[in-house]
Amino acid sequence: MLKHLAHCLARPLLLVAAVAGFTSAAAAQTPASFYAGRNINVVIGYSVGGGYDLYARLLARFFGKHMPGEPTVVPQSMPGAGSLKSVLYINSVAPKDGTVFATFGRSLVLEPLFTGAKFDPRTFSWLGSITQDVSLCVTWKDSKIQTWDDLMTKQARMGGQGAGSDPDIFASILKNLFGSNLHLVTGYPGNNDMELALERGELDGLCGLSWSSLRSRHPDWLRDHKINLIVKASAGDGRDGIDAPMIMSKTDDPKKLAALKLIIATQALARPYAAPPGTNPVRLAAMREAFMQTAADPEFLAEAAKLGLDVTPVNHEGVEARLVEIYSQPPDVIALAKQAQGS
Amino acid sequence: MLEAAGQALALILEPARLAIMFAGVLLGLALGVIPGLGGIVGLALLIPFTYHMDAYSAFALLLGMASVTTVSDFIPAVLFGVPGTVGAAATVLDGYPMAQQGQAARAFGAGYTASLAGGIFGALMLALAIPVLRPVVLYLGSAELLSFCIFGLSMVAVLSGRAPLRGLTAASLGLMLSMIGSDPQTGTLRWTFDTLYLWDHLPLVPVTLGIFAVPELIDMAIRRQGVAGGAILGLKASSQWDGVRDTIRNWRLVLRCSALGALLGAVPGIGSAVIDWIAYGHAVQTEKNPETFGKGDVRGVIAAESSNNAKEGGHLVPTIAFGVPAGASMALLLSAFLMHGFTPGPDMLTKHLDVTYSIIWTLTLSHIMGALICLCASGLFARMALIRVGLLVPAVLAIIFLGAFDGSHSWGDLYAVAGFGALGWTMKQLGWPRPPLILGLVLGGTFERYLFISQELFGWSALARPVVAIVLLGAAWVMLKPVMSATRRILAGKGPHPAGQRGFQLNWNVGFTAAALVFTAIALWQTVEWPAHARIVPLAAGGAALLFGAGTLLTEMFARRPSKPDPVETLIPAVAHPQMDSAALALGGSTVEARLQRLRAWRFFLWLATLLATTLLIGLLPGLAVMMLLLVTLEFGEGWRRGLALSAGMSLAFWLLFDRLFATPWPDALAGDLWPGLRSLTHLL
Repeated sequence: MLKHLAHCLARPLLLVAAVAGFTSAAAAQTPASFYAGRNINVVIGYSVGGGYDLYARLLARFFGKHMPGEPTVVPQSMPGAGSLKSVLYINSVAPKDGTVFATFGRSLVLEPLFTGAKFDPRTFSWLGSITQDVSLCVTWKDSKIQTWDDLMTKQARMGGQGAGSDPDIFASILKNLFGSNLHLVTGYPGNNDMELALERGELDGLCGLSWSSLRSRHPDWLRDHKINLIVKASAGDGRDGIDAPMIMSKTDDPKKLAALKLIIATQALARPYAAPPGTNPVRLAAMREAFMQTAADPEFLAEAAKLGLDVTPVNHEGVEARLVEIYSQPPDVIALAKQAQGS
Repeated sequence: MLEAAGQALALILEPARLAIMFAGVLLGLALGVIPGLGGIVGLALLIPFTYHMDAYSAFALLLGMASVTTVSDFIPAVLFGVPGTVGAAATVLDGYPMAQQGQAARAFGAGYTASLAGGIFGALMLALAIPVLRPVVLYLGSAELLSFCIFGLSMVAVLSGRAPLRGLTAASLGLMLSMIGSDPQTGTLRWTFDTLYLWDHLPLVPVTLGIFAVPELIDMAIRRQGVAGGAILGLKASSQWDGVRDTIRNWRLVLRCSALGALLGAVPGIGSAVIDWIAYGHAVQTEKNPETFGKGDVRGVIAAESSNNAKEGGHLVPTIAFGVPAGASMALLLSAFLMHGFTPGPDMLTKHLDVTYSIIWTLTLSHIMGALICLCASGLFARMALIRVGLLVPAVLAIIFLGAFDGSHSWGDLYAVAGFGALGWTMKQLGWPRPPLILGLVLGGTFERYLFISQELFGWSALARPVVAIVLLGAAWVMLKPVMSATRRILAGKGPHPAGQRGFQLNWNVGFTAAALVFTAIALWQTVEWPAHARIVPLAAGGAALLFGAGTLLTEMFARRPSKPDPVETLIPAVAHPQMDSAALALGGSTVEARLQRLRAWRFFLWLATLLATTLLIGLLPGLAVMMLLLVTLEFGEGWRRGLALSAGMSLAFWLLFDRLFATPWPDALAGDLWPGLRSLTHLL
């Protein structure tokens, strides 16, 4: 607390000093002298308490000490429009001097393809993704839906959070690409509410449930076999120790496979971090290095383990490669993907 | 079980932990006093400091802080008519008139005692419910949640006072406002006008502050008198004890409202913003001599405060038993649980029972601490009501804007607080009840979600579920009782306006109602292109608004009226239209002539517009500094020295608190676009 207050008070003095010789000095600074005594803001596109917020606040605690000059890293909530607001902030408003980076929804990088949103994620100054994720379809142990075949043939009541949300997208894929007979009950306010509905038997199952949050939030579900893992969607090769078939193994149609791949590719950038396009290259390089160092920091990993958060980092090159792959798909694949996920 | 409770108490009573809890309580009280800030901000701030504490100390700090924001949020509500958190809005209704009548100390005594009783009741309910927590929560499904929403909405009937048509119109408009944003079924963007701000629905804090707080400030600025308006404040300790005795005398009411608060608090989706209204409505409906409610009746304060504090215990139920947080602050608390190695869920009721009990003890003890601190300090607080109006109004207005901006850190928040401030003031002047609007706004979203879900899952068979049936019958009783008693009155020949002439007339009220109708019609027109699922509820709400609005309009134009001065002449509807809205009383005793009133009101709105324009140019903090300086000197004539001192002092405090401590992302200003260097240097533009 005291250290934080000292930081607070040190800033005005620095400001006065900085105003004096601002323009001439800024260009010649090394990252260490630039960041010393400064703040880096981590803009979080969701309100406090969710998964993106949890990851970002944890990262913020350890990121600073891996940066030259050891800046204070301050998490800032900027919720809005399913984190689109923070993306647009990074895209066109945020300062490009290396004092701001942001985290936002993984599927936002598909927005320009599907909805024509006016930004290009390929131009962002990517730091990377702190983890990859696996998305699952599960059903409750007492439900009549126990297997993939049940899900295809019987009328399963699956929960949703409204068009465009992860559970609805996954369920729509099952319906539109695989012809499932499931019944989507949508409109739940959030994951918590759906999970409670599942537990009280209102729903047969949920799709789009993230493995990491399942493990951290409901270890008893897994331990006591309260749920059936029906199918998983992962951008990896499937060797992740999760006992469920890959969704890619359920079709041979090359076009469907390509569309599936496009949508699922975002699982590789499950907790993405990016600075504004055109961020100062020297400082960006320092931030990228610090990002990967933080992800390997034993103290950071220990805290993440306590919170049940997976850490399987992807560096900026990995993210950029995925984006190039996604954006090079032919229009018919993009159209099929768009139709499959129901948008 | 008793053993676990005893163990937990021993752990909590260790001096070091008590000291930590005390620190948490102090911070919580401070956050509760500042409008717009509350437990969420405090938790986000404190959680990083708990990483190296043991779990019991961490929860003592966090819960000690979070549970008492609802004790102190009451202070600005009574003193300035400005609710400290959204949960204190109903307190304003009777608490503020009490302060105006010089009874602030009595209101404090009653409010703190009721808070204390409510807080302990909530904790006790949590403790007693432990064995049955899980089955009870699992029993409440989507259909039950829907019935709770309907019950909440039925309170509109009570909260509209003697203006049922206006109340129903306001509630329908509130429902329509709640439909703004991305629709929960199809994702259709409804009434968002291509703004990102409206995607996620109107945030509650700016709207509540606009509807309830800004009008009080405007009226203070018009009257040019501080809160107590020259009345001698009852500062003596004895009058505070009067308040304590009031609460003890009304123990039955305290119990009923605490039970309501704790039960509704446990239901996800029924937020703190409506629980106090529901309890208030319950008090109005069940207590004897309800006509004094809204005019400084201490029972109104007791009802609102006991329920507002009891809900904390209720909020913890789903968090502890299922790991399902009942709100944002509980979601943050959940992450603290995880951080300390506890996974909320079944284990908390068996293996970690001592932790659960330590939480319950923390709730109890922190409420006791909070109430005692406030009781001791209330003389000090009550003196704040004596601050010169020329300094008070600019300072509180600045705090309100900052608090509103904390809602979602958007430009939209600033427009919303100003816009809803204008709406709230107009409604207050014209004698329209404001609580129904908020009730509709808060419950509308949840209502729509669970209406569809419940329909999909159960259809009409939902009505056969016992809890649904009982709650809906309760709602029907709440709605029909006023109708029946009104019918009885009319049959007995005691109509609402027995004397007075009938005749066509046009006045401000007719104009306002007509404007509301036009807005509704335009809004309904826009629904044409939406898919069916996105359209049903907005159409129903809009239809209701049209129907009730037309009824209001006809009544305004043709109804019998008592031969009292026309509202246009006085701008004071209090006498002409007796309302439950505290509104009515605010200007009651004023001697400011009508022309001057109107002039000052217009000037105030002009100042608000100036503030927005300045903020657009140079950023929010500098804009507020300029606004405070100009208001103090030019509007209130307090002199440049005072203006500079206030502006500089408050701005520094704001900067330390909001920029340094809370890391607020400030709104983009033109100066920052022009000089990006300045933006990255100060982070203020």
